[in-house]
Amino acid sequence: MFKRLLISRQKEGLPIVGGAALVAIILLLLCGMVGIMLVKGMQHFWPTPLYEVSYKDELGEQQQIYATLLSRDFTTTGGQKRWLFNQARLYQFSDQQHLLEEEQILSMRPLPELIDIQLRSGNRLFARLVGLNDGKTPLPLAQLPTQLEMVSGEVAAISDLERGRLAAIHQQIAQYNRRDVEDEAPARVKLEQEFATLMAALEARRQTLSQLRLLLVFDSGEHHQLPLADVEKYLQINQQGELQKFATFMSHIWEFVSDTPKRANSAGGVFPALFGTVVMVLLMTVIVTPLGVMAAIYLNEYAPSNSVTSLIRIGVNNLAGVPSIVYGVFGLGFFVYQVGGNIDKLFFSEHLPAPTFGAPGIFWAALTMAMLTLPVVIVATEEGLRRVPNSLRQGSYALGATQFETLWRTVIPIASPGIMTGVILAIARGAGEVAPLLLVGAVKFAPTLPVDMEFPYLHLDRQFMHLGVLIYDGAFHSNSIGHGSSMMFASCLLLLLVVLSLNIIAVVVRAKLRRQYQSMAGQG
Amino acid sequence: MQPIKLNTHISGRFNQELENLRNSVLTMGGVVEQQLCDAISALRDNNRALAEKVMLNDLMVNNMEVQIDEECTRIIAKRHPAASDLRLVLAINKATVDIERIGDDVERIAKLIVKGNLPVSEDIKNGMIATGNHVMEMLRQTLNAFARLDADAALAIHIGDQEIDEQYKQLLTQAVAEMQQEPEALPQWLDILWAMRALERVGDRCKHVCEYIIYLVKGKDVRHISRQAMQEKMQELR
Amino acid sequence: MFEYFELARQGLELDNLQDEQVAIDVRELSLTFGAKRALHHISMKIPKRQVTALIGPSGCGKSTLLSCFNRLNDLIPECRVEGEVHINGRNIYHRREDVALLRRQVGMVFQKPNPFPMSIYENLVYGLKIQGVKDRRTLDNAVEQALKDVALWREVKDRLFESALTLSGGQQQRLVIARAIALQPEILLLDEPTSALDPISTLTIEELITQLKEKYTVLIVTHNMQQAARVSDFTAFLHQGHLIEYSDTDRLFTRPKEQQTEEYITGRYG
Repeated sequence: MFKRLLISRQKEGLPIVGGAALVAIILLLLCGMVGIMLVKGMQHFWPTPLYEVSYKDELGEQQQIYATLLSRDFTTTGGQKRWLFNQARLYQFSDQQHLLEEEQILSMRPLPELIDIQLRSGNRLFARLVGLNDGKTPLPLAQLPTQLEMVSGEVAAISDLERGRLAAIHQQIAQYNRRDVEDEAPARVKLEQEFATLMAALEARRQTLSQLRLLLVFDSGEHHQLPLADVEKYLQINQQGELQKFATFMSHIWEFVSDTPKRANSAGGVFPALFGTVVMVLLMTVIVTPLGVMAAIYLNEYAPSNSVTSLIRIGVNNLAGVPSIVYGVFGLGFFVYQVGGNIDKLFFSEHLPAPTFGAPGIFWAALTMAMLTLPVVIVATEEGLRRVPNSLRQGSYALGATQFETLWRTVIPIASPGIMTGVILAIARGAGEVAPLLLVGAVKFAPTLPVDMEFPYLHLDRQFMHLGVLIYDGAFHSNSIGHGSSMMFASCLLLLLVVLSLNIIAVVVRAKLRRQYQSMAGQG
Repeated sequence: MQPIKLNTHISGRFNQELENLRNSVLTMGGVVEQQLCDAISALRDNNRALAEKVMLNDLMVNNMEVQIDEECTRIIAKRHPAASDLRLVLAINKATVDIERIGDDVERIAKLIVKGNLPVSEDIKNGMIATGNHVMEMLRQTLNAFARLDADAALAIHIGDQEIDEQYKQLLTQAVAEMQQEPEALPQWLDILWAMRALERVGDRCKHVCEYIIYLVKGKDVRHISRQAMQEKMQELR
Repeated sequence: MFEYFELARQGLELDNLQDEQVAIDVRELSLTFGAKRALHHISMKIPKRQVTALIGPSGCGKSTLLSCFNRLNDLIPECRVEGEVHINGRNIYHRREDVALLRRQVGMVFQKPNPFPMSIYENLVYGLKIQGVKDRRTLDNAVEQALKDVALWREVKDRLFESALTLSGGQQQRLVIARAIALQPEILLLDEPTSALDPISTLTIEELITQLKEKYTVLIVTHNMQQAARVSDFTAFLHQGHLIEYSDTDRLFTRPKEQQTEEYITGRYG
């Protein structure tokens, strides 16, 4: 009796337990994914100590490098652990990885003088700091932060001058050249004089700046004097306490989010990509929302309910399943070459053959993504419209409203949470797509942002950077497994955060709309 | 106007209630009819015991009226009867009043016998018995018309009341003539006159019940109008 | 006949209504949904400033008939109407009739309270705003008047800008009536206005209907025969799309002419 009860309960329980187990596995996988992103991404920001590593090379000679430790057991062969080190040297474009067997390593010392220098060129340098001098006399090392600050200010001032006044004069002279203004014309002479004096002054300032030098010793034992003007920032990681390390960690994160990429997207920040992603998604949303909503309204409210309409509806539903790369090809073929090409012919013919809109750009990308996400918005909006109780429509008609007034004043506001659901889904889909973007405007590196202070502020024709593309590129093309790949994880994490925050915004808006236009469900 | 069917309601209980109500009125009518019959027998045979029984039974009739009234109230409150149902309840409500009064009238005749104030003259007595039989027949027919919801029969009965009035008038003339011959028996005569009057009233009350039957069946109020007008109304409602 | 008492009796007689006493004149109205005929040659004159009830079993066409009077049937694609309905001397099925204007003159309230999910105030000015009224004071006055007309002013005057959905069912239904009244219609169509309400709210609405009669012609469709008997002056009984009987309520509920009416109002099966 008891046994039978148990068995029957087991029989009933099996689907529940099985289902719960599956859900648990899926949840675990999800958590694992987010966890890996978090751990690997955060590693990118957490400062690791610098070591002076002495090892025996294959020939048995003793070598010495300054490096960070990336992994203690990067590969294991026959019980032999191999350690992975990351070395950064002057004049070397990217970091260099060293894979050393455990027993090769003689010693690892985290010397306090070891310094991690970020150069203005984008390169990175590990060295031993021995001194600071202003050309003749040595200065105390304690002055380094203030000196660097002063130098940075000066460098910024010089580059401002170069970009501002100097560039203006340069342009003016170029204009004179074009207009064939004579060399002796007084205005031109005056300008050229000003140009010369400015150049001289700048040169002098540069000279004084270049006097300030850091005295470094590289791991090869070579001594080097590095002009302080070349240094963007430095980090004496081995001298930092935990709290300082945390501050460094935070500043790394900030740098990552706000800075431009360096060294082929393997260092520096991802700001342009972040910005490009957000702008593209917003543009896409702006395009897809009215299109999708109008299409849904037509299908649901105006279209006669016949076979053609249901055919269209089936078509729309199926469009959601078309592979995204197909959209990319369509965008390239239709938007970029056809539409863009014709726009260029009509409006920008003076720039031809250089294309304006006839080349991949953020607008075409946004438009392509809008095409891609259109079915999602249409389906969700139709669902929302269908949920508006018919009694409200009738109520509106009975008050003398036309069909449009009813739609505009009653149906759409009430369906707006449904519409927002569609927009949320569209954003989630649009922010994560990479494949079509590669064809229609996203690039590995874009010199300018799609939005700046220059008229017309939003440059729809510009190419842009995208987090997804950055990750894709990082995963494929990065020759360095170390720093570059941790940057990839950090980018992934950021992309997740972007999608999440865009979604949260949309969810909040939807919740607000729901409160305002409380669903009528409570009343049946 | 369509014939009234009482038992076709969707609510079976309502059918039952109306049927019970109607049956109880007919039962009450039957009791009163028996009372009248007994009273006339008592008059004919000078049967005091029977007359006493009649007087006692009148209490039962009174109780019946109260019960039927209550049932009418209950049905109106709970069933919200409309149209023919409403008219049925109203007609029954009113008819019971008249039937109860018939009971009272019969009691009055019985009282005469109990008191021993029987008319000395055989003529008067026979006249009263004849009128009594006539009235009894009328009551029986009225109850039949009610049972069958027969408006035409009710109209016929209504018209037939004239004969009773005639008989009453004759009886009265006869009585007055005899009264003059023996003036010392005047108090006795008063009771006899009352009894005669009661017989005539029974006829009138039957007439009222017939009016209710016509109201119930035809939906028209035919009270307090001339027979001529009544007949015309019946015709137009056909 | 000489009247001794001031009893609530119907003074108007349907058979000899003057033209100016007629609010809606239905002439030979037939209606088909696709192949199904819902109304058969209905002719009736609905008196002004009176309450007229339409009763009949489910599917008899009473709601359909009601929505013929503000042409809400137009929304149903396969619905076709023949015959004429005259309101104010105009045939509203004339091809040049302004339907939006008609619907402002003929307000309608539905079975389930359907306030828009907006504030009470917005609900009330919805129709006026569509009409293009923008003046704040006009709107405020209309709101106050409409709410007073439905005896809701005292209850909601402090919460005009709260969601209409916070009101109780009965209040919502009164709000919806006020929303129709705010347009100052001539005719109010009530489609089973109390079937979703509790008995007390029902009584409030019924009381309201008898008051509305002072200003408006009221047509009410109801399943509740007692309600029709309580609130209406005239009652029309429809059965399977036919107008079986149309007379004053007193008469219809005490001595109907037709057997079908009798069977329906006394709860019998035919």
